[in-house]
Amino acid sequence: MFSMMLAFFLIACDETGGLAEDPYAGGKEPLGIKLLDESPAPDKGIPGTEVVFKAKGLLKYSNPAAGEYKFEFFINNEKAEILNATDTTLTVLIPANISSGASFLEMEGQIFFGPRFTVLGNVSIDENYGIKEGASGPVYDCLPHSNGGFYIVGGFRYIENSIENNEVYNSIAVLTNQGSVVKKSANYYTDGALGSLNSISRFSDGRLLVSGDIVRYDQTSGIGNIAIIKSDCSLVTENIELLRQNGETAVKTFSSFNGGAEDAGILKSFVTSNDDVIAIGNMKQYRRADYANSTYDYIQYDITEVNSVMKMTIDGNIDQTYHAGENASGSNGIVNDAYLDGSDGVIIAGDFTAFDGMATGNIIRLNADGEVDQQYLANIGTGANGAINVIRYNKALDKAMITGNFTEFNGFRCSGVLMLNGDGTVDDNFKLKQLSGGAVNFATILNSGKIVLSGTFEKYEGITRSGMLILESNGDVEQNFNVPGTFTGQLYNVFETSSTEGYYALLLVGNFNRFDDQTIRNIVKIRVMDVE
Amino acid sequence: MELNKAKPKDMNKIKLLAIFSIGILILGSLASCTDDSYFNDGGTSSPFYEGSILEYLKSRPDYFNKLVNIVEYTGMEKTFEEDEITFFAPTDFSINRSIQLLNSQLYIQGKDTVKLIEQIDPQVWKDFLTLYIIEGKYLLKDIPQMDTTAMNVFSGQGYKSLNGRPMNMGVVYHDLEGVKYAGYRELFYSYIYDFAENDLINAHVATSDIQSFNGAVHVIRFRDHYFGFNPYNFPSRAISSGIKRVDEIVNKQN
Repeated sequence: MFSMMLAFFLIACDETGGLAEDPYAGGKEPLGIKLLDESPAPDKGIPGTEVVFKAKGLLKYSNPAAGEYKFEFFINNEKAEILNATDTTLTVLIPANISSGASFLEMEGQIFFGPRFTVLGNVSIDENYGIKEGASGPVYDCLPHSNGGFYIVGGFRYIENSIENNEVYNSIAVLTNQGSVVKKSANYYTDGALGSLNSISRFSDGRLLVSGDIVRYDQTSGIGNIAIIKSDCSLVTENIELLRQNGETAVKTFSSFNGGAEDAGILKSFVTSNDDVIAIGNMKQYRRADYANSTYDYIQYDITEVNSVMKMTIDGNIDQTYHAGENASGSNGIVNDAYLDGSDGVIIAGDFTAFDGMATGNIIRLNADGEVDQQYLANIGTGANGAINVIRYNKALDKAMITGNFTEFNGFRCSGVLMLNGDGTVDDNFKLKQLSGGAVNFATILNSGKIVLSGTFEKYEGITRSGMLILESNGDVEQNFNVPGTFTGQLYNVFETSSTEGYYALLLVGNFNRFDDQTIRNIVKIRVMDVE
Repeated sequence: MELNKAKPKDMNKIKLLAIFSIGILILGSLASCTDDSYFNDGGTSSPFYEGSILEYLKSRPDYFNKLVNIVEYTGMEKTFEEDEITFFAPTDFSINRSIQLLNSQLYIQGKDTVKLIEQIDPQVWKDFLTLYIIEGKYLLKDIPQMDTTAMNVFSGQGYKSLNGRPMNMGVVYHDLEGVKYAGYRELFYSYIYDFAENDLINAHVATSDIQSFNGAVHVIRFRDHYFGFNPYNFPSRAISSGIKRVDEIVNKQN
């Protein structure tokens, strides 16, 4: 019955010529122009280069003799002067200030996308470096390795295509200078961590301190977010004889570093000049296993109150004299980051208005004995008027870069990025210029005085420089050092190293998924030429 | 057959029904061709909304409650009420998905999570919301064909969004029973990294051509869309611009 009905309807329509109106008809007329995907000639060059792009139908809207064009041409969102147009080509001049990126032509509000143009300068990806795709999770910290490469720690499981070979690197790995990942061997003998590692540093005997948010390392449980490992990344362990319920004793393996944070992860950990350990975080409790009162199935922990910071000996025992006493209440807010300076003092930054009961603007320095450094406190004055999220220190220069959600530091106006001297005074030689489209989420200072920034910004001084900058020490931007295209994400550290050919290079690690427009995750090595 | 099983008493009913059906058929076949104004007839399938885009969004709080709050928080009411625009509407599901990702990142950092849109800098909301707005009214039929497997031939068309960033609109002509491009058409709105390398993020439009007094609304499929296209753009921008505490907002409102 229904099929009959349907047939009737159809027949009825056929007789009168189908649907009365084509729902897809009557649209706006296209302009009839096009930029072709083919690479321009040349496809890379420095500012001032004349470049020919392939196009279609532009002549209708051009008067090359008079230099008049009804369209505009852009590379990486920067306008490029049009020198000539034929019906199949478009010749443009690369502007003086520009970073690499895709091209497009704009006419009457419509955009015609074209190919990418690479702006040449002093910075480029080290394409011979073995890591091209990156790591599967963030890389938070690095430490130079005796093989010329680096230890890396973070929250990753796979590096490059290791997922295909089922090679797992649980938050810690060793890379060579050429960028190959050291596989499980005598030089890398670990199952890694359960959880993420934020920090890695070295003792004078070559052993390593790692910390983060971990409860297990190398299949050994009971880790209090911090551990000591050997140079091959395996956990330093000790065997303890414990009573079982049946009255017999049995041996259990523990981390030989017996100490840790009970109630929160550790943000940063440091090895002091005399091989003690300082850990910073939002913890309130230090813990240490009391094996004498434990059984095989139940470990008794002794808890000691600590606030934001704790110092331990190399075996994990807490230093009760460090940051101790009634006033040692720590931060009244959130600790975000910290560094250890050359005289075993720690500078702690975050989102707090007081530390150990003393009013301060989101930053404080503790002396080697854990007491608040009064001189530093006086030098920072009112400090930052908003949270400090990241602090990075250059020991050689004794200067630090702070990044956060502040607009003023001790009366010095700044949009979220500032250079501090080691004593807490502002280095006002550095001034961040006008930044738009987002904010800065990381800044560090290199030995040359240059500053590496990452962020969510689009433009610096009105020129599109998406997500990353290498600035001069006064905050100026040099075209040659800022040619890469879009960076997406956040850096956590920048290490000065050498490229695969032996030139000066930077290892960038963090939580990012693009560098120079290319998809690469969390680790990349870049050549930086002519660094004074 | 079922008819044979019917009792004699019911036969009359069946006859009646048959006559009635034929009547409807004749009426229907007449109507199906003579009535070419059904497109404007109103009813459930009307593409027209008697009001501004903002009023339309307000009429569907099941999809756009948060979106409307964001429009008001960023002070963009005029754009949505008066300016002639094409709006690719991200639903609350997309916005919530991005907020969840943001919150998971804040949680890892040990920071308070976001409960109110006001905790995020209005400029951040505005910069992302304006990515979804194109000046002028573009309906499906105004937008060129796009074929994601042959972008150099059918590329759709780029337009500058209100944000300033070039975006791409394109209509994908789906195939029908093996006949290329003869099937239904689907609108795509794309965030461009490198068009020539096909490096872009597509948002699928689920409902297109909702026409209000001041332009067109195309609603983006919420199943897989993140507010801000790249899932991480919004969370990292929100964090770097600073997250306000809930009590700061509440104190301000009091």
